[in-house]
Amino acid sequence: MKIAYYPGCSLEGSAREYDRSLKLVAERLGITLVEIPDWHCCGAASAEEVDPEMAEKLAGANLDKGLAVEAEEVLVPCAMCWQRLKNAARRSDHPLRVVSAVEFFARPEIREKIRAQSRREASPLLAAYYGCLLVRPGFPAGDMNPENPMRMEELFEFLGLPWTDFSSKTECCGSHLVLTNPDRASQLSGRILEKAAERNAEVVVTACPLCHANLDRAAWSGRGPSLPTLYLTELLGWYMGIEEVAEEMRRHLFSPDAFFIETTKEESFNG
Amino acid sequence: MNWSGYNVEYCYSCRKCTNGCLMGPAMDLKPHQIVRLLQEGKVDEVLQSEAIWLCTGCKMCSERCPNEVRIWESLAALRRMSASADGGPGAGERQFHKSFLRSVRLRGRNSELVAMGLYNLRRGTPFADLQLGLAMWRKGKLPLSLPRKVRNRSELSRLIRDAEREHKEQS
Repeated sequence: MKIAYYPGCSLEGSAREYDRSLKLVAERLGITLVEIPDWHCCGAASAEEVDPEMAEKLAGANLDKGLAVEAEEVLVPCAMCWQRLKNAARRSDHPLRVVSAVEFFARPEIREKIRAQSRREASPLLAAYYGCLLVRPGFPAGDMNPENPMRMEELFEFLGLPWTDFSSKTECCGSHLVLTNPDRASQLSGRILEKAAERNAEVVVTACPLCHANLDRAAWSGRGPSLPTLYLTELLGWYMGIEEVAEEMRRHLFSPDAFFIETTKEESFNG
Repeated sequence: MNWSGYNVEYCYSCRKCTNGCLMGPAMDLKPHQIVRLLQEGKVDEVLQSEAIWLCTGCKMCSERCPNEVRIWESLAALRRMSASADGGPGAGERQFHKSFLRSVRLRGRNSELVAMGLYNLRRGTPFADLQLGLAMWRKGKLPLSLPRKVRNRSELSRLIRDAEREHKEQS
């Protein structure tokens, strides 16, 4: 199975855990990711703030570069890049279909494969955190309910992983304020972690590099409770017993020790 | 500035936007107050506020508005109208965008290190975030190498630079 891949700038830098864990999971599932050749800035963030038209052109040009891959879809793990590219695809009626990581890994045929490789019988209590751009505006979000998305929770349920709902799962983490106004960002992220902790969650799971940066930093700096945040693909990699994923998890500012202890105790797996 | 399409005239101050805005408590002007001012044509008053720069772009306001008032989009438009402002509200954000886009223009893809480095230099705080930066670098989350050069980066650079200039002139 082949799919085009658009990592975006943060997955090559501060969010490398997301990129690497996703690639490890895809490899284990027999999915071939083909990075869009010569991809450039998606046009979200500052580009969109300064000039939406220019941003649309940047996005569209990436989709056109994506045609060279000769796949039907492009997987875009970063929520900002995903919304940026999806909007451009929709408005230009582009043949390439833009898919988010949540949408992709929750698909029936994919989640079946994931469950077939299950290596875990116990798990900490999970709380799915969606953030903003995966669910708002109501369109083009991947047909998830913007007020109460359940795609990740449904996936956890299917995989037999314990989860809890919580009130702040679509509240903003602080976004770019983590860079320009970190004090404010910590307030928002700290509150999200608090709400998850109130529901006894032990791990927060997210699918956006900026959300991860905010939540990770809040726990690390003590502005929020000591809850680790995992990328969805790190969770899936751990679930399937892919040992290399632990290496990536250790890179978080706030390390999810509970997973390490379990992981290092596990025997090596075949396959 | 043509506000048609933003639906501000449909607002009757139900305050659903302000109630859902996570930055609302910190704002000098709340979202519903901003819309009211726009209804009254008092754009300059809004442009002097800090509020529009505290917006994280979460789009909760526009999503929840029962009358489809484009609240987030209005704030984004107001921010763009400040492109030529020197200092004042939003100075930090404008410097950030400038730095980010300069980084993108360099290779065609953003380098987080370059963007943050330029931003901190512009702000006159070159050693801000040093502790964070070191922590990240030690964990391999801050590559010191530049991104791969995008083949058509000059064309993209021109596109970005022309847009920046046009906005500065128009605002």
